[in-house]
Amino acid sequence: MITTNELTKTFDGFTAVNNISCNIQKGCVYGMVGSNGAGKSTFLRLITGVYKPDKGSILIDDEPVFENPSIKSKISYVPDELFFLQGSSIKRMSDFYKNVYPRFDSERCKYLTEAFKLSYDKSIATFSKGMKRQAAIILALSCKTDYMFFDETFDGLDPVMRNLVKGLICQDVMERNATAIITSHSLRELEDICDQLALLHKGGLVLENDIQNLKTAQFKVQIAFSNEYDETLFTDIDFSRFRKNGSVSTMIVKGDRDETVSKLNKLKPVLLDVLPLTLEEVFTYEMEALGYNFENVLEA
Amino acid sequence: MKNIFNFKLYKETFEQLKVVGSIFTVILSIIAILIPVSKFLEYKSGLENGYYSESSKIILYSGDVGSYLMIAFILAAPIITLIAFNFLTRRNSSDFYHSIPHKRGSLFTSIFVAISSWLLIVIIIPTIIMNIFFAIYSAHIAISIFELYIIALNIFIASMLCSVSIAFACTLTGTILTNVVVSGLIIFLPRILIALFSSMIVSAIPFLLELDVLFIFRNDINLITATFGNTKLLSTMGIHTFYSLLLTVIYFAITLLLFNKRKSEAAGNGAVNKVLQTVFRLCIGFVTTIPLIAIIFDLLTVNDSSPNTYSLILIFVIEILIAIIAMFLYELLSTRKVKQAIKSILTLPILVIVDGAFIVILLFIFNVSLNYTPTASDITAFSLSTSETYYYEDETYYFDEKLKSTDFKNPELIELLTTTLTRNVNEFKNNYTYDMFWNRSSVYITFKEGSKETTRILYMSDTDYNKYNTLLTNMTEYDKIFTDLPDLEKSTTVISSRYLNNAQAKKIYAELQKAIASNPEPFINSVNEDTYYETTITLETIFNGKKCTAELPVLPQYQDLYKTYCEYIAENTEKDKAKVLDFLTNPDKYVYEYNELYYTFTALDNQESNTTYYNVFFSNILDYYIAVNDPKNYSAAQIEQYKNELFVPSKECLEEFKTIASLINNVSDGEEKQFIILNISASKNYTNRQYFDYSFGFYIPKYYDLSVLDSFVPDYVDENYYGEDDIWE
Repeated sequence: MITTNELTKTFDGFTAVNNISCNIQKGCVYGMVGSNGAGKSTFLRLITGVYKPDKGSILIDDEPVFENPSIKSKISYVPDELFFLQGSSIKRMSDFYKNVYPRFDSERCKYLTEAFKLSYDKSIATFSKGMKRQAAIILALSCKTDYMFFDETFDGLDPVMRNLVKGLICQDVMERNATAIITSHSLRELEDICDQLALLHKGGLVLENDIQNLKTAQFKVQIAFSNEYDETLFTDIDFSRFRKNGSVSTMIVKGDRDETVSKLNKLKPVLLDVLPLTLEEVFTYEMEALGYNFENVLEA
Repeated sequence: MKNIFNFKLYKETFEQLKVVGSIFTVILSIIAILIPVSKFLEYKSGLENGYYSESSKIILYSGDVGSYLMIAFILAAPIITLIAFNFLTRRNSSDFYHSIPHKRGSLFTSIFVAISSWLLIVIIIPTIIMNIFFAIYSAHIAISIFELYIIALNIFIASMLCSVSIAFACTLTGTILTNVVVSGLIIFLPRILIALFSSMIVSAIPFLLELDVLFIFRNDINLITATFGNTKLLSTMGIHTFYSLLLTVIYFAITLLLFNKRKSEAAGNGAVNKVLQTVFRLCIGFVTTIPLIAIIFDLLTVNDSSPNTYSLILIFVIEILIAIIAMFLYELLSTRKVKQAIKSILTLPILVIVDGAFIVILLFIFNVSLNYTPTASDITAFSLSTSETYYYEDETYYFDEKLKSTDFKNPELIELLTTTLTRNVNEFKNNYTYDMFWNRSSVYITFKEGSKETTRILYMSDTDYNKYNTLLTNMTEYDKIFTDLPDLEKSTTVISSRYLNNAQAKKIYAELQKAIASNPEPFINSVNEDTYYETTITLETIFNGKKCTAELPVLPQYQDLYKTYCEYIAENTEKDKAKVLDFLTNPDKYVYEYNELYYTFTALDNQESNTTYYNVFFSNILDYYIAVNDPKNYSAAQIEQYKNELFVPSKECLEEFKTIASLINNVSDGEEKQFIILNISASKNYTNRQYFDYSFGFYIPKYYDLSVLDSFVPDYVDENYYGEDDIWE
């Protein structure tokens, strides 16, 4: 299990990660989304032991990670900016990893390289951006670690490869009870693989929940009345983003769906539609609530 | 153990450095093969041309031969280290290495040991190859193989020092540019400052030989900086070896500590934090203001320098401008931020304060050094030094080293010396002119106050100097320095001679020791007079942990010994007799073959005074000969020039050679004879004067006066080439 408590990291006065406390259970795929500069990569570097926290703590299996080789040997990490040894092939990198990670499986590395249709002996420098990322994923998955961290990993991968990688991660999680943390800008990439999702904004953890809860905790309501009305009509409903266009209004409602429908029916609407929210909409609305809204820019 | 070193990581880094390490190993190995092979080919060609005989050997000095290995610390160590620690300059690689399951200490140590392993390979393989080749050619090339390994050891330590200094710099910085700049600062700045500032103080005080405030002020203790221009240091183990090793260990410990503290996020930044960035910038600025410090120090310490206010202000302004530009550029290049570079100029006042602090420190050391005027009661003993022992530490003269390490306690002498120093200091303080003592005799004295030692140059009047000499030479401790020669049985002592083989030299040395014991005076006088003798044996021994040498004269006063020596020469040079006789009896046959031709007659039988040399020298003969015989390729002016520069042998001179040839060993029984060593050397080009060299020792009748050769040297030779005398007496 990964436990962070009031985790804080600053760079030259800029707080990249601010007081993040969270628990990530073993055997879970944990997604992390957030805007650019939200602190996702810094968070991963902190829990990988690359950075030392300025404040707070990180415990992995109840042990601190920084300068702790026994814990770090349980972690494989695919960073946003990849690194390979100068002029190296996957084979050469595999040798390197074998010297560094105790459980590194060369056979699996070879097998995955073939599965990804990459060259085992060719210099990685000659690979395309996506192929390089695939190579990094292959190496990370071959480490057979208990914790796998992927930073913006699906960027640059084509849909087929994305699905393959997702499948491999899920396989590891299920077969070895491994834990994966995946960061991304794209919620669509995460919603079909993650058990839990977290939203980071300006270094802070804004939201953290099970994916199922997130999807059901909010929904969109379309409602219309024959007479004139405004938002004051819905005082006993927890809603946001109220928009009225003619007689039809839309709003995002939090709470129990059946209870809300029952309350709204009592108001005798001429139209009442309850629509589920996509995860993307959930996060967009959460971000908007935090002031991360660029609609006015587009409108201007 | 895993926390400080990891073999697999070491193996991995070793693998990564394979290409660069192998390239340097191959390059140095090729050089290691080329040197002995080229020397052997030189010998073979010399043999074919008659310049070497089958029994002769090319003698090589290991310091010169082994200096090619300096490539290891000049190029290999910096390049290998920068490659190995290059991951610290980029965020992705830095993060990668910091994410792998190893402690930072283990990461650093494993990488550093891999670098060291490659450096060892780069150095030791060529050394072994060179050893093998010199062993193959040992019949024709003489070199100390042991010293080749000492050189390898010194070079390895220097390379490690260089490597750890660069690792130190890489740990403190985060870009390749700042890696290189800060490496330069760490390796060279302390030494440059010490050398510059100590030379400024030494040149401001005429009593100082060197700054003796601390031993680290010595110029010859850092292998990296000291070996430039003094490669001989490499073939000896001494304080330079141990100091450099100690410095390597200290730097390693500091770097290991800092590497543990280094943040991965420092990659890509000029320095790991803002304070260090400022320090590095100030160092760059400081280097540019050193001339200003020197000028101000000079103005404050030397009375006869006349400052011009306007030029002083101009220098100040220019220096400050240069410092500003240097700091601005460094900041701009290391941070790539114009705003920050402009802001960096604000640290100029700190630079001025640092400069001021250095001037204050310099003045403090200057005053402490100048005001050293002990009274006789302060001094427990003193020893003598010569300037040579300080400046040529690797070629320590045996008797100088003994003088340095012998404590003299004569109260009268101590009184004379302390009074002289006090008088000198007061005179200097009143005038502050450096060359005010130039016309006085000087002595180099090390005053001892318990364990404290201070060396000063004392300037004496003639009366005081005579008194000093009389008191000194009357001391038995002084005589013992010259008469107690080291035991030959000691493995560290080696005796050799230009004319004798080792067995003969050893016999002469044993007899010389006996002769000195029964009659020390001529030997002591001759050593003190510092006169050149032809009949010498060379002593090489370890004294006070240093390799010392001395040329021990075998004086005519020790008649039997001297006679034996001459007979040995005659016996050993017999093989060249025919050739030398041919040169003497048919000089006109050879005289136009060479650009230069020397005949040096060394008369050794003068029992009253020093050995006498008669040196007859013909020059530009071949050039002139060609020019005259092939005039179409030469202008009239060129021919005229050759003619003017030509030292042409006269017919009378050549006839005289023939006369000498006829007298060689032609001495009838009972007739008085004199022993002569004739050395004939010639060169066909001016760059290699030793192109050809023959020696021959022989007797001729005493009645023959060699000074007749004086008359064969034209007047202009005296004026242009040898001052007063071409024929030295």
